[in-house]
Parts: sequence; C-alpha cells; structure tokens
Amino acid sequence: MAERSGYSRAAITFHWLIAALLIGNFAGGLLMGDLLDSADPAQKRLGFQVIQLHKSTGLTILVLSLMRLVLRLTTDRPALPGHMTPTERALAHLSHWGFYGVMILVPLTGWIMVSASPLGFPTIWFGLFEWPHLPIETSKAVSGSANEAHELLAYAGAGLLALHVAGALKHHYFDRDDVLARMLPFVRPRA
Amino acid sequence: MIRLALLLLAAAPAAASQWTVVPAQSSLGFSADWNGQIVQGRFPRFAASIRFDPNKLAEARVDATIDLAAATTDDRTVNGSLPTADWFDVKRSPTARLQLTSFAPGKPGQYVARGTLSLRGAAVPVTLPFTLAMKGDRAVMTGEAVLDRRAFRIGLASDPSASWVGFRVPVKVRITATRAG
Repeated sequence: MAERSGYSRAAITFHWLIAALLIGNFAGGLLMGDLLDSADPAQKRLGFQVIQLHKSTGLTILVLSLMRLVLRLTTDRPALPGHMTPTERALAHLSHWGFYGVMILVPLTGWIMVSASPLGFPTIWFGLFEWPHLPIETSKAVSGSANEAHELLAYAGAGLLALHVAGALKHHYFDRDDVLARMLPFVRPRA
Repeated sequence: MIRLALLLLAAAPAAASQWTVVPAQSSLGFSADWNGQIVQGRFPRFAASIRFDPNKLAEARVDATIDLAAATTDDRTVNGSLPTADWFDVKRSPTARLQLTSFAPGKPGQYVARGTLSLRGAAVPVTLPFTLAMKGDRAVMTGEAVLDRRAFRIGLASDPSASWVGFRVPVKVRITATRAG
C-alpha cells in the first residue's frame, strides 16, 4: 500500500472524536459505579441517567470505531519515521491494534452485559430511540463475566492511552519528528 | 307451571347481583418505589366477573383477569424492563388472575375482600379493603391492596435486596360497574 505524507482529514476527525468519547465514557463509567453504590436515592437516580448516557456514548464509539476500522483497512496512511527501531515499530503497531481491540471490545462487552442482564433494562440512545439488545439469553453469569471483561478491557485501554500519550510526547520532544503534529488538527506537518 | 314461574322469579335477585365493569370509568394502577421516586403504572386491560349483593355477602365473588403485557408506566426504561423474565415474565404468564371469595363488612359502605392473586405461577393470598358507593344500578368501588413483589418472585434476580426497586407495591383499584340484566 502506498504511503501518504499525512493523515486524511477523516482519519484525524475519527482519532480525536473517538478519543474524546472514550475518555469521557471512561470517566462516566467510574462515576456511574460510585453513584449507583451511593446510599442517597437522588444519587442513584442520577446514576441511572449516567448509565443511559454511558450506554449511548459507548454504542456511538462502537459504530464510529467500526467505521474507522474500515477506513484504516482501506486507505493509505503515513509511514512511521525512519529512525524507529524494529522493536519500537512493533510496539507502535501493537498499541495501535490494541486500541482498535479496546474501541470495539469494550462497547461490545458492555452491550453483551446489558443484553444478558436479568434487569432487562433497555438502552434508549440519547433518549431518542430504543437500541436493541443482542439476541442472547438472559443470564446473570454471562452478564457478570461480560461486566468483568468490560472493566478489565477499559483499564487496559487506559494503560494503552498512557503509553500512547507518552509515545507521542517522546516523538515530539525527544525525537523531534512529526508523529504528533501530523495527527493534530489545523497543524501543518513539519517539512 | 305457575310454580316454575315463581321459582324463576325467586331466582331473579341472584342474577341481579351480577355487575358489568364500565372500562372507561375503571382503572387498575400500581406504583413502585424506584430509587426514592414513585413510578406510577397501570394495567389498561382487564376483565372481571362480579357478583355482589350487600345483603348476600357470602355469595359475593369476583374473578378478574389482568393483561400483564399491557402494563405500562410513564418511564420508558421501566416499560422496557416490565415484560422481561425477571419482572412480569409475560411470555410465560401473560395474565394475572384475582379471585376474591370472602367479603366482610366494615363501616357503612366499606368492606374487606379476601382471595387469591395468581401471578407468575404463584398464588398468593390478598386482602383488598374497599369502599363502595351504590346508587341504583350503578356502583363505584375504590380500594387499595399492598402487595410484596417477593411473594411473586418479581425482580429477585435483578434486585433481591430492594437497592433500587422497593418490595412494597400498592395496587389501586377503581371500578365503575352497572347492574347486569
């Protein structure tokens, strides 16, 4: 596949849009747990509202990520800088594909957990329409396992994010290449 | 022949204590505590066979069938949960049946009915105190029974400790009926 000099506008949009939604939803997931565990009924009610928001955002991430995966598999993208060692290249690929795994599997496990839950609680996408449950049997065991996978994968995603940000800053400040700049919107890559 | 006619006349008052529900002026509602907030629900579809004569309470009987699939609340998320297996489980038991077989008088115009409510495969004794206003061939009955969802194993997989949904479920009945025949 030919390599281009910078990321396409679509790739940049997907990157930042999904990043913002992922970080927001990670925070929402943590907040939701605290609210639902609260003894205050008003906090619990708020928790259920956050659940609806969290599910709506998560499913949006799932759809956007699948679209992004198609874009990733079908279009050219810029090459990694020439100075990178084979190990660094392998790590970069691993973390990027790891992100795709997280972006797709975290919402998917969330969807499984909600669909199998005996609570039978529907997902109303941003209050607009009812998002269907996956056609799976109601099972507390399945829902519980999906819940655990959902959380573990989300934390793995947070770890990847730390690695990703550290990598981007290293490229920018130590390697002084255009790896960070070429993903920033409104910034022209270094010549 | 005349004797037979007299017998039929004597039997007539029994038929006269039969009542027909006026659906437009009747309602069956329930409420549940949902995180400190009361969610109001209703069963818009039910049918009842009512035999009631204040002077013949021993013969009074009510047999009602309630369509659980039609149950609805003002909360869309609750509506999504209601028909599922852990709640009303409408696939396996689409209707509830209320059979009232014992009526005791209280203060004037007040009674206490006792019987059985069958729901989700459980037959549970219920007590329904009610007031009755009869005027000619028209009667208005209002009453409230408090049920415990645990007795019917409702929501036990989702919330066995009432962390979100209370155990007590008051059911409000308002029936307008006209004398049949």
